[in-house]
Amino acid sequence: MPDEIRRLSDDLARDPSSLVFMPLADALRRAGQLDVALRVALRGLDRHPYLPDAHDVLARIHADRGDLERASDEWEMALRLDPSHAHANLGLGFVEFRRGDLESAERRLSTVPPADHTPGVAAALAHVRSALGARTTNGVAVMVPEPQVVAPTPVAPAETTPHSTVSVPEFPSPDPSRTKQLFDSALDASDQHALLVDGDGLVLAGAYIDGSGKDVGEVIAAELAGVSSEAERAMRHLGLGAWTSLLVEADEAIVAMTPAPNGSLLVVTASRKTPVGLVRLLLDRVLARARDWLVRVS
Amino acid sequence: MSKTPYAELLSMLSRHRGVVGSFVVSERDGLAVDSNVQIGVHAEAVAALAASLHRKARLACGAAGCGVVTFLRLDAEKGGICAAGRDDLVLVTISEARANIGLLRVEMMRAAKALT
Amino acid sequence: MKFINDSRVRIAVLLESSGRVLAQHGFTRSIDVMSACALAAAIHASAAEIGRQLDGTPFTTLHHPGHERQIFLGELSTGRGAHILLTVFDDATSIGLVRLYFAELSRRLAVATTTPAAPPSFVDFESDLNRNLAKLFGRI
Repeated sequence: MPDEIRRLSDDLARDPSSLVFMPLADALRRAGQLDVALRVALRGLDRHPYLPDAHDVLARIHADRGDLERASDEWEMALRLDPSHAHANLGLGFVEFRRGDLESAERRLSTVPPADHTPGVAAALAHVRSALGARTTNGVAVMVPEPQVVAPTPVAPAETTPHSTVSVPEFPSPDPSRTKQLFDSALDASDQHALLVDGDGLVLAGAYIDGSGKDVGEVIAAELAGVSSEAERAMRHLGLGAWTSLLVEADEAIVAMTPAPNGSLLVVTASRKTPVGLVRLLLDRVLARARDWLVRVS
Repeated sequence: MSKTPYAELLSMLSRHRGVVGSFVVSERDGLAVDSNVQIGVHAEAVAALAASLHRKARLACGAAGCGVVTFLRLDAEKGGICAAGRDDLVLVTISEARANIGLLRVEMMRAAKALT
Repeated sequence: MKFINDSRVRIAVLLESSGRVLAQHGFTRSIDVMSACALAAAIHASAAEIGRQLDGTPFTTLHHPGHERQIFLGELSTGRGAHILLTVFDDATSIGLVRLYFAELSRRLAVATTTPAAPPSFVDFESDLNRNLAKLFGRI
């Protein structure tokens, strides 16, 4: 990989206006050098703003950085430039899948013409349909497959031809376990939710069903996991010892979180009507349940 | 140096049992606009870290559909931080474990409404 | 790396007051580092002189907030002379945090560099700079 990067980098240095910035940015992305990859892609797009493949590469870099909003913007831009861009559809399907919007993901992936089907599209479509089938069978309470936070990954090393940056999203298999209901009996009301989240912000157990019946647990977990790292940093620097709980009161909800075993994080949310003290009690109760469960599964 | 409009407010918060420092902080800059701290409290660090924590919590709650953050409390083994914000200004207190958080919370939320 | 991880700045360059690069993070091209170091050294020298004239002592830190990005330039006193840290950051962090971790870096660097080194000769400046850039990027 370093040799490939060096070679592509030399090619780009020789001809800064060439399209080699695309495979270079993608190679850097695959090597985990996301900041550099971003820089290369942005510079390339300065010169070639109307290349759908360049927007596709940039989108995958954003996705790897965990910025699905920007990734989505770039894939949409690629589609505006080329409405039949299979990889942009694949990427947007990936984002919709990540957000738990399986119907949209299925609809989008189905629109990719068979002629453009890469193994990635077929695999992604199969995963989404499998997850949709599981949801239909068991009702809305079935767990949405828990994807890894990785952008679509190219199946072949990207070279200088525009469509050589073929990618396959890593759609994971649906998790059949019924861990979504783990905390239900520890909670008092339907407006209370609990999520056990791992160190990367991925849901381990629990659910957060919004008003429309959709599980938005993954979004909540990913957003709130970042808050705990801020808490950890603040306490480390101020010498107040390890943080034990964080309680955030907002207009619509109260959110409480606490560190859980194995570097995980426990998040409890309740409607604004819930007394603040009760939320803390719920947090303790749910933490006890999470500890038991983690001991059993690990 | 003349007193800022927040001096009275901060003095009142710092008189609470266990409170070792109170601040008005710019959330965007992470800098203290005014503070009332006991000797030994690293005011710059508290201001920067509390502002960053409040900002992160505000953005996360917004994205998660929980609405606007009105109060935040971070507990640790030896004490904690409370924050109540309004626009870019955040009222912050740092306290020892013995502080009466209930009382402090009510006063901070009331005082935060007056921040301009 | 600790400073970069803690402060969450996008770009950081550590240089000597002569402009010689010591370390960098976030730049992809050597030409960017060269420009940044030349400008940073010049800005630092100007600010220090303004400070001397206005306040009797040199200004040692400087902050420019832009619309999306901000720069912070600060002098680090070490046992081997003054170093300059140039940072570029966005709304992932704040000037308060950057200053906080800059102060921490300053303390750590002061402890780590207790043995004074000979100042670089001006004659060697050009080759020294190029050698450092080569080391940073693997090539010029």
